[in-house]
Amino acid sequence: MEDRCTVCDVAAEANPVSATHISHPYIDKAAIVGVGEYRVLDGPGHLACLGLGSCVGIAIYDLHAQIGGLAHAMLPHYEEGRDKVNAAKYADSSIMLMVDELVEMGATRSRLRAKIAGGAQMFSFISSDTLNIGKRNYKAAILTLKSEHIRLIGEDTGGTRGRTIFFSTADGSYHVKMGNYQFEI
Amino acid sequence: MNTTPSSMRFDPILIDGLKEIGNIGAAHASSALSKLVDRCVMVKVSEHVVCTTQQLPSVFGDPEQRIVAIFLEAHGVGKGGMLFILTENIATELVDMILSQPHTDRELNEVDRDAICEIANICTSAYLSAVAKFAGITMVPSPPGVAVDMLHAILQQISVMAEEITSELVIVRTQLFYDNSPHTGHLLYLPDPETIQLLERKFRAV
Repeated sequence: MEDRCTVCDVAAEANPVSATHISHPYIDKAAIVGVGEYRVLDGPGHLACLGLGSCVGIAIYDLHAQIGGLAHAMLPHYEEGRDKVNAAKYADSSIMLMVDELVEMGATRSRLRAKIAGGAQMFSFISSDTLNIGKRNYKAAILTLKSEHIRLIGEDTGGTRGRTIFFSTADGSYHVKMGNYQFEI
Repeated sequence: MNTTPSSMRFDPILIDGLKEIGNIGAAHASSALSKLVDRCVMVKVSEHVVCTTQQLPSVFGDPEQRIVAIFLEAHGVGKGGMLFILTENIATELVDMILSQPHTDRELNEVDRDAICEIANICTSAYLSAVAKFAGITMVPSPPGVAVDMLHAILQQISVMAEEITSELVIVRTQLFYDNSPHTGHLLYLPDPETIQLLERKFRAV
């Protein structure tokens, strides 16, 4: 198995963020996907996003080919964004980039499935929908998945709590951890 | 420790000035907190952290640690964000001190949330008004918002807010402590790029 390195990974490698002080049965084996990055695997393996707040963790995979990826998007739309260099920051463009990469690696587009979690609203003082970036991230991701014809088969979004997520390309399992509470979607 | 995980470089005069601002602001914040809890709250010398908005969630400590964070924005001539971070235990201890009730280990309830929000509001407003006075600008603090969650998830929300205006951040961090407990809380000040420029001009004029 080989970790494919994307443009955003190169930036991440220049500034590695150690996750050595965290121990979790999944995380020990998992590659951490940082904020505004995505990672793809062309074999069975684990990917994780730590502490998703308003960001969304979008997993897309082809179970048959055992190819999958996880995106950690922080903003909804590339069009509206200020930074045009790193397209992996945005929910819509990161999905498109990741899907293209997965297909290039041998995944079949029609077999691709998606699971999504995150999009919380951490601070109580923001009540308006336009400022609720979590909700906007989620909506942007849903719309993009629909336009890419990828079926969404699991989700856990919204609320006010942060989530840590673990995704396995081996069986497509997607675990969500909120505080001491853990479940699978 | 001054960490500069990114390749960005800022003028040393600006960095020194910002750290001084952190010291002045935090001194005011700590004396406000001292009066509130009737205890001597000390301040450590401020540090600066330069990072990209994407790095912000992971530059401080354990990303999955559960913390209490109070965030407010500064409006006016000098825009920016102000974050007060403390552990749940310290937060409830401060609340108990103010309400003069015996301290019990517990999760933050509604009353605690409101109380800690008000405590942070007073501290951070003291910080901001000291900075505003020093720089001769107007800063109006917004109502505070409180969140109790993983450090990473909270900082990530802040980085998303910052991302709309800038991709590089200068953060002035000051530690508060009392009774020899080393980590009472952290005050993070995130001036926006315009405010940084404005402050830089002020520092050069001095």
